[in-house]
Amino acid sequence: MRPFPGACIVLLTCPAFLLAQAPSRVTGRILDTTDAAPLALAEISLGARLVTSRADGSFDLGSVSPGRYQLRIRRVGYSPSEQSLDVEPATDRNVEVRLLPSPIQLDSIAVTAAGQGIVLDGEDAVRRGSDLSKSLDGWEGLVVRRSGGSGAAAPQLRGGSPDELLVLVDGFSINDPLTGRADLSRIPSSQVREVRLLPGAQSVRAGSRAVTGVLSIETRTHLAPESSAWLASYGALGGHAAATLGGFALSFSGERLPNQYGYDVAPGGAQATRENAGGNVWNGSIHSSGRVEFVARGSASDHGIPGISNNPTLHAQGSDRSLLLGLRTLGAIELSGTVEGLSTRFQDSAPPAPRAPYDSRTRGLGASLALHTSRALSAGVWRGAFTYGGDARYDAFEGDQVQPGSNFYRGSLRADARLSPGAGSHFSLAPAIRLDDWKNRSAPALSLRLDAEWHLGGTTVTAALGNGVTTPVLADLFFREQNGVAINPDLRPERTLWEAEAGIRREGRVLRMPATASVRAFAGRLDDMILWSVRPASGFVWTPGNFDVRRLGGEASLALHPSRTFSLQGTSTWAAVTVLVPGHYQVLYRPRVTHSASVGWSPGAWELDVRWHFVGRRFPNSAGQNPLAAYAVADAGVERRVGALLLRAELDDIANRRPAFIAGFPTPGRSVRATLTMELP
Amino acid sequence: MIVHRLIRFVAPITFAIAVNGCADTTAPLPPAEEVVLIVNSTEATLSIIPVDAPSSAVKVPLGGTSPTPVGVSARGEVALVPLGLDNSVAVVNLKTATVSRTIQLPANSGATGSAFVNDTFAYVGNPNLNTVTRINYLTGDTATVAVGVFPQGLSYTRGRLFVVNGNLVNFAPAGASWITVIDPVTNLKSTGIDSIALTGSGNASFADVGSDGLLYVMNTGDYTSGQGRLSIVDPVARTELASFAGFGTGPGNVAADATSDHLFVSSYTEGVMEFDMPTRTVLKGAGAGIAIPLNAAVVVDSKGRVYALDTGPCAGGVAGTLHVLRPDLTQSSTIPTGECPVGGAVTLVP
Repeated sequence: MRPFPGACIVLLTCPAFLLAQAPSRVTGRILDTTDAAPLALAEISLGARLVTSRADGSFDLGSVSPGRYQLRIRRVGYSPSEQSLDVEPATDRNVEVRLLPSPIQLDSIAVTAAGQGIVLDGEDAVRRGSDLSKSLDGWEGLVVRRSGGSGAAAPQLRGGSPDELLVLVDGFSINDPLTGRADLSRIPSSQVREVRLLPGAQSVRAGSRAVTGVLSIETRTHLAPESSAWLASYGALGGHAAATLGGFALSFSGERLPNQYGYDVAPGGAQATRENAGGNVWNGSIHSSGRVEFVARGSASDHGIPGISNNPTLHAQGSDRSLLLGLRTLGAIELSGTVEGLSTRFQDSAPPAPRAPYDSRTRGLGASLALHTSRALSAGVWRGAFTYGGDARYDAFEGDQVQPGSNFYRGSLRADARLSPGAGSHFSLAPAIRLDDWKNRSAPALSLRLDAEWHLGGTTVTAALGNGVTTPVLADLFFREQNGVAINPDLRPERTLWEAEAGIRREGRVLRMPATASVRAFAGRLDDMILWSVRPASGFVWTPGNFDVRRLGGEASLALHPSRTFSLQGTSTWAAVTVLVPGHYQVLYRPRVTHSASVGWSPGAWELDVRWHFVGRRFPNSAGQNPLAAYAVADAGVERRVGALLLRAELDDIANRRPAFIAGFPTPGRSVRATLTMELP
Repeated sequence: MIVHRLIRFVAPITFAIAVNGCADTTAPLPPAEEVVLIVNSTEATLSIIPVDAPSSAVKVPLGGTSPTPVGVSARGEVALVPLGLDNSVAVVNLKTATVSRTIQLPANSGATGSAFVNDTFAYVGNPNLNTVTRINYLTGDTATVAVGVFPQGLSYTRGRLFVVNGNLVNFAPAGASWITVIDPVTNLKSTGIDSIALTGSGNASFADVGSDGLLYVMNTGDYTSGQGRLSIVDPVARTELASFAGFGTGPGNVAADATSDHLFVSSYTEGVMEFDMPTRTVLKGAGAGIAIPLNAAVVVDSKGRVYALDTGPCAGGVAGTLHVLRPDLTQSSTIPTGECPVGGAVTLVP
């Protein structure tokens, strides 16, 4: 590991930070276009700020740093509005926005009226890390699970497994059709316009995989021409280029991972070298905006498979290719479809004994179609919007890793609404119902959910109750027996028997500082959670099984703005996910406690951010034995714009803790990363 | 008068102190305690269960990074648990119920199978390396010697270490198994006959010394097609004396009972099977075993009680079950274990 360069210390303490540039206050009103009536309960977002208009239609976004922003407004029964807003230094802005009545209220095919969720603006995402695996680790209880220091990084939430969090990019799932896991490391933060997290059992509205929540990522539909390159001290390097051409936002990125890096065998222990960890990763996307959106995403990687640190596989190689083509229309009738192809290859010409050399390939093809209709709804005093429709998906796989004839189809019908008792009401309800059916199931599964929201001044109270179901990931169903895996023909889908959630969010002042605080709690029961187990006495054969678990937990967060240039944020989560057996042990590799905190300081042209997150102890088994120690990681970043150049330096894992979420998958530890981004003419 | 009363009061106390104070200062040792040791594989713990007080069982976390323990051997107050993928062996002090030392083995060892030689030395199998390592479990010193293909069962008798070579390639039997004989003094293959061929389809994995002094070796076969065979080996002549089929699919370990001269065989599919050593007769073979679900291992205590392990689902924190059978193989009780119990041993802790 290269030493921490002293230049960064100089950079961090540079007097130029002290140069302040005064922010401005942004206020305004939301009115109905037709009669100029004030509109309450409109959702106004500017950057990471999210507020709701008051009864008189007014809103106050507080102090905003100078710059150009997108001001977005949504309200039930009205067309969404989006406009650019230039915030000048020390010049307050008062904005009046008029909304056009419309029965259309939704801008996503999958995430509907399930509440506002928690929003992270793209600019904040960039400040938190260069890609979303770094940016979202620790954010609002998300834990990113890595298999080592680089490469695939899958998020998990509320003690769920990575395949129990649905991740959407521009409305299309990026969860691997075979494994169910999403890889956040392949999404550059600079490409992201907004990240929205809807925690909780959301499968009623969003479908399979949304057991613990939905992470919805919207990319920028207009990408300013820019190119960036970065270099990390442990040998990784990469680049990203983006532009908008003819209405299409184009993005392309590449990354080269080092083949070796040093790590500690145990905390404070001997040094070792992680080998065969390198590779190349390429990602590209095309995204058009408008009433009809087209999305094309592709990725390719060739990488080493280093194995567990004490049993390295020095010659194992993996490669994968994927391509998704998606189309969706936005309007009263939303139609979307995808075609998706993937291929994987794993090979090892000289595996450690007693394994024989192998070279296995798997190919998959999937297609989905969804149709939903939205219309205004008025019943007595209740007024709002109603959406109904259905979707279907088909996947087929072939190759060495899966059984012959591995195909799976599923379909669903869904209806949901968002209702308020009259204009200006502070109360809204969002009921939803869903019927799911899939291959080899005897009868459709019914899911229900009801969300409620109250807005009382700066306070929002939410409550939800529902159930849900999600199909097993296809890898659980289709792996070949020959690979040390036994199929469980009796494997059942995971069912959220019930889940209740309540939360309160308050915007106000703490110690005379503008502040936002929120507390959420959840409780529920998940039946038939799928866990893999090994039968050591019969040749180390792995097989999936169903286990009932109880889920109980909560999240608390606080954001403070002590000054116009300074912000503090912190989140703590607690999630007890326990198997319903005597002893009630935490499910394996689910930390019960996580904390995160971040500090942002933007004195003028400089921006400085420091992040810290803590992951509590985890158990490598579900029997509460041999816990892995908790770890905490602190990162820092500083950036400055100079003309068309944006310079950013990051120091990751400042204390060199070299944490590993799963034992045996070491990380590089403290590293410096420098990024140079250049706006192109 | 006062002095007389004082003498009457003090005298008995003085006498009592004198008698007790001069008693033997070496208190009697606590009685030796026979314990069943159970390896709980997926949670990587060792259960220590006193045979006469099973409710006072304790569990010892074995630690490690990615341990996959499947077996245990014991001698007095010391137990050895090879940790599989951790390439190490845990030395457990059974009196303090702690891991006193973890001894690193060669990289990619896949440590499986162990046997004690004496109060200092023991051997551990390195199946991925086709070697066994002699360890000084008091100091942690190691010395490795090459044996056959995929050594996974070890047994020490008649001054020699008998290494059961499973002959697995890619975790599947590549042919018949054999035994390599090691001289622990030289840590080399024994002079004279150093290799004993076994009959059967390979995957020999367990061995125990019977009350007749012979070595009983189970050839498990391929786990799917009923290839289980029991070999009887003369450790002095170093030759296979007999081989018996009829143990069905995937038989596991064998445990010899000195009180009945019977040998018990565990099996996932058949439960507990039984073999009579003097007459060399299969008493309860495939299709006739005592029904113990998911029976991964069997051990016998000094009173002829048979302990059969039911692994349970090996996930979700669901405990396994130790079925206690009387000498007539009727069940007397059950004892909960940790998650995924797969191996066991019995020892007398002094």
